[in-house]
Amino acid sequence: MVTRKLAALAAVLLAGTLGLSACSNGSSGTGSSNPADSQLNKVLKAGTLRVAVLPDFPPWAVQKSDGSFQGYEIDIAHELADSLGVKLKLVPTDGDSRLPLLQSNRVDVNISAWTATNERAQTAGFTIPYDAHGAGVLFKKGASIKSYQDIAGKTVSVARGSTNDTILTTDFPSAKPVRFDAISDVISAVKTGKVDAALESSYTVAQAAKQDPSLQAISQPPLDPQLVSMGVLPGDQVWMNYLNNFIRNLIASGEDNKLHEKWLHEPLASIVSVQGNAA
Amino acid sequence: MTINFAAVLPYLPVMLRGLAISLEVTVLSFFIGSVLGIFVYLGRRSTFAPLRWLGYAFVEVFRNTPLLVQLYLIYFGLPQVGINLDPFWSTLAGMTLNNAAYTSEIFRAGIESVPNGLVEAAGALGMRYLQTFRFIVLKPAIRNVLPSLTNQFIVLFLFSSVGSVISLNELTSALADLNQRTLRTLEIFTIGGLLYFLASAVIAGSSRLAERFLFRW
Repeated sequence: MVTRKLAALAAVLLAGTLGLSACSNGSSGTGSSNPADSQLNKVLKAGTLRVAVLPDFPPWAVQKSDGSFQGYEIDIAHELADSLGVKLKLVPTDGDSRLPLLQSNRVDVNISAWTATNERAQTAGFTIPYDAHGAGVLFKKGASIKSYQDIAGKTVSVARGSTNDTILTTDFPSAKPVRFDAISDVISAVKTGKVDAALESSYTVAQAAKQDPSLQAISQPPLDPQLVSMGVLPGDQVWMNYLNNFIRNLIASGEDNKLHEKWLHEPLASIVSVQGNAA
Repeated sequence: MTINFAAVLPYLPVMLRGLAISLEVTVLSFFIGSVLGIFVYLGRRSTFAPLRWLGYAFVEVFRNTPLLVQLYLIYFGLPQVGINLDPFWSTLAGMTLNNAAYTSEIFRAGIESVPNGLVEAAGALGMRYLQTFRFIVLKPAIRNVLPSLTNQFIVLFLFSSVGSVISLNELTSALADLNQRTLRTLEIFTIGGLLYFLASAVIAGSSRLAERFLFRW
């Protein structure tokens, strides 16, 4: 009797699963090229721009103890809201929630250090890049790591699903990845000796090494620099056009570079700033 | 974005490998924890006062703090006093201690539900304390609390998902990795939830079989 009930339930769920995969082509699109449907219109009508940002990635974006945010991407979000003449609402996210927040209409755009990889671009919509950053390696002083190539064969902590995760698995297949959800845990793992090294953004590892004398970092030149874009739902061409235009103007006016220098103490990567130069 | 389960099915072996680790850590922590739980209970009943206090403190500490906090303390905190455990042993340690606290309470309920008359009769028949405990008290007690124990087992199994935060490669961690790679949240977590459900259903089913065949009197 137990087995019959179990078999029936499993059959129902299996049928449901197969049924859903069969109608995989039937779902509607997410956004359109009709200006009236666009997220741009919705934002202007609502009078508020909701932006997803990271709360634990200084100096790009960090949530302070009083709940407010500050950082390079926060300043960009403020500029975007000002350009639309609307209020700004910041929503904290993590790597896993960036797309779900857009799909559930809880945010209008992501400005969350989102690297526009080709695989992600199949399901999310990316604007032109406003930033670029690469990876660096963090390790305890005394570990036998002199260059990026030395992390081969070692245990390396990364943020789950991040571009550093991909860099590690594709460029250093002999290294053993240890994945954490939070960037702070990635750094803690090196501090507490759980892993030999951490692979995180070049700025983050340089800061961690500065703050903790027992740690050392290799961060220049950054490994595998990648382009960072704003993320939106795919298919909303009107909204994306607006954001692309906004970013181009931000770069051309020198504002993006100014903010980048202010927060990261180095100029915007030339691969990004070249977009501000009219052909 | 369209819903497409077929795109996610090739990743099933990865999920199953994660499920195997979830089950492994659950089974180990359940049985070791239950044995530990019995001893914790016996400690609480002992006439030696510090042992009683120790048992009481153990249960209160591990029952009233979240497993995630316990795992963080064991995995990231202990190295500061020199104890360095890998994710599997950290998760195992945390879940075992957690389980011991809960099962000691479950056993307490079961053992105290055994009628005193039985214990007195065993004494009258000349059985020693340990013999009485093993045959007259423990076995009927376990039968009485088998539903609670099954529940605890399933809860422990679902709690093993917390291990993903300290980088243990169990099922939830596999689901999170796949989600990041493919961004197909609905499909991946539906199949993942289904795997958890099926494993729990098997556990519940075997418990009912055990009830029927092992404790038949």
